[in-house]
Amino acid sequence: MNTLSPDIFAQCLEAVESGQATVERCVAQYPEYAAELEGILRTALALAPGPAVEPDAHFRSRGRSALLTAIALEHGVDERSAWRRFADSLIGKREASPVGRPRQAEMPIPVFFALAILVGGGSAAVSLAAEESLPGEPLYSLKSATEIVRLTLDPSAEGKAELQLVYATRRLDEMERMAGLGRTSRFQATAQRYADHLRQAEAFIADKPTSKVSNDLAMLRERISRRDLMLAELRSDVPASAQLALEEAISITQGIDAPPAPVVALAPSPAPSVAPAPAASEPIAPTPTPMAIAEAVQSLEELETTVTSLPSEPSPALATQHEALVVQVASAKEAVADGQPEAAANNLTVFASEIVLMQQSGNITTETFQALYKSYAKAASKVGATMAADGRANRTVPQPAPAPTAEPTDAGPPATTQTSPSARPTAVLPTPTPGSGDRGAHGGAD
Amino acid sequence: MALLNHAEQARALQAQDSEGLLIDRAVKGNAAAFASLYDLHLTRVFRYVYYQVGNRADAEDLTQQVFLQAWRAIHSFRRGNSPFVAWLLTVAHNAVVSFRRQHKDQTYIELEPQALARWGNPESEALGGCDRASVRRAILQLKDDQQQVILMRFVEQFDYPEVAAALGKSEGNVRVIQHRALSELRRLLAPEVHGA
Repeated sequence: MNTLSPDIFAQCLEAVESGQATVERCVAQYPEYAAELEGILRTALALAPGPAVEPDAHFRSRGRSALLTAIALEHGVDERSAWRRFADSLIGKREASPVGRPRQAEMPIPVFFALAILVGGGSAAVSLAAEESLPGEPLYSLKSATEIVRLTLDPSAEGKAELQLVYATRRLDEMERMAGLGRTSRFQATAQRYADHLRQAEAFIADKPTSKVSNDLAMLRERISRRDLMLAELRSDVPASAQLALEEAISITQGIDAPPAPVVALAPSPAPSVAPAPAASEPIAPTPTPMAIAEAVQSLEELETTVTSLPSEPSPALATQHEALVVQVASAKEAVADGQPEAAANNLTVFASEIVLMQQSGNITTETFQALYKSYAKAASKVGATMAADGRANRTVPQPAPAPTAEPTDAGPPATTQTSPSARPTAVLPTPTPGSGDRGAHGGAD
Repeated sequence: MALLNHAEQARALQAQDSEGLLIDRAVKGNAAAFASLYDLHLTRVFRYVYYQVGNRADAEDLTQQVFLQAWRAIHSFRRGNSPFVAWLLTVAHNAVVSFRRQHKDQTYIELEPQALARWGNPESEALGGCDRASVRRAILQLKDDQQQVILMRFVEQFDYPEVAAALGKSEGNVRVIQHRALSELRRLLAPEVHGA
C-alpha cells in the first residue's frame, strides 16, 4: 500500500492554497494516494484563523503597567531620581549612597505590590508571576503575602477552609518543583506549611463534616497519596545533603493527622504556628453603604484635584501620562458611584502603578509622588471601606495595622486564618505610615 | 500598482527595522523597549492563547505570564528566519501547556458564546463540512507538538521556515509533524463530517 509522503502532501497543499491547483487535480495527479490525499487536504482547508478577539483597553494598559513593574521588581530598582543619578554620575558615584540619599517615597515598589494585592486582584502579571515562584525566589514573599490577604478578606469560614486546601496543594507543587530543581533546603519548611494548611481545613471540617470543603479535602487526600509516592520517588534524585529534609517532608505529609513532628532546623525558618490564633481583629460595625460611597467619592475627587493640580508638562508624552492618571481616577469615581468598588479598586491599582513608574523614571518629583500617594492611599482606604460595608454585617475586617517589623522568612507566614494586627499589613487598604519603611511586605529576595 | 507595492514593502521593512531595534534594546535589558514589543504583539499573543483556553479571564492571565516569561528569556532570542512574534507564540504555547496540566479535568474549553457567535460558520456545517468549533475541539486534542505546528501553520499562518525556526526543528520535520497532525485531525473529525 502506498503511503503519502509529507513532502508530496505539502506540495499539493501549497498548490491548492495558492490557487494553482484544486483538490481534484492533486488527487488526479497522485491517484495512488487518492483517498488519503483528498481526506487530509480537505481537513487542512477546513482549518481557519481563530476568532478575532481583542484584548480590552483596560487589560492592555493595566497589563503594561504591571509588566513594567514586575520587571523593575525582578531586576532591582535604582531608587535615585533621574537627576540624582545624573549628578552622581558626574562625580563618579554609580551606586546610591546610603547616606544623604534623596528622600524617596515612603512606599517602595514591593509595598506597592502588597497594596495591589490588597486591593484585590492588582496586577495580573505580577500576581501570576508570584504564584509561580518558589521559596527563596524574589517574588515568593509576595506570593505568601497574597495568600494571607486572601485568607483575611474571605468573609466565610468555609471560604477560608477552601483557600487552605488550595494553598496545601500549592505547597505540594512547590515541593515537587523544588525537588526537580535540586532546591531542597526549604523542603522542610514548605512541608510544615503544607501540613498547617491541611490542619486548618480539617479544623473547619470537624465542625461541618458534610460541607463542600470535606469533599474537596477527600479529593486532595487522594492526590496527596499519589504525591506521597512521588515525594518518595524523589529519594533517588535528591542529593545526599538534602535526604534528611526530604525524609522530614515525607513524614510530615504522611502524618498530617498527627501532632507536628519536631522540626530539625535545617533552614533558619521558625516552625509556623499550627493552632489558629483567636481573632485579633474586631468586627467593624457596618457603615451605611450610601455614606461609605459618598466618602469614597469625595476622596476620589480629592485625588482628582491633586492630579489636576500637577504642573502642566511641556512634553506631550508626560501630558499623556497625567491624562491617564485623570482617566483612572475618573473611572474609579464612576465605578464607586455605580456600586462597583472592585472595578474602582482596579483603577486605583493602575493609578498606583503609573505614579510609581513616573517617579522611578523621574517624570515626577519625589514630593509630587508623595502628595499623589498620600491622596491615593486615602481614596484606596475609602474605596475599601465600601467593599467591607457592602451590607455584610458579619464580615470581619482586620484593623489597619502599622507596618510589620520582621522580614518574611522562607517559610512564609503561618497558615493561619487570623493575623495579629502588629505582625503584618492586614488591612484591606491600609493607610501607610510615612517613614514606616514597610519592610515586612518587601518583595525582595528572602 | 507597482509603486504602491513598493511603498507597502518599504513600510513593512521600516516596521521590521523598528521592531529589530526594539528587540536589540530589549535583549540588552531595556524594559521600555520590551514594553513597546508588548504593545506591538499583545493582540496576537492574546488571540493565540484565547483560541486554546476559550475564555477571556484565563487568556488575560496567561498572556501576562507569557510576556513576563518572554522578558526573562529574551536573551535567548536570536533574530533570524523566525519573526519575533513566532518566538513569543512558542513561549505562549508552553504557558498554555502548563496551564492545561494544572487543569487536567478539562480536556478542552469551549469558546465563550459571544466569540463563537462571531466566529462560527454554520454554513459549512450545512454543506456537510465541519464547523470551526468542531475543528478547534479536534485541534486541542492533538499531541502538543502536532497542535503547535497546526496552530502556527494554519491558525497563525506562518510558513514552514518560520515555524521550523521558531520550534528549533528542520522544515522536513515540520512537514512530517504537519502530516501526522492532519491525519489525526481527519480521524477525529470523521464522525463530524459523516454525522456519526
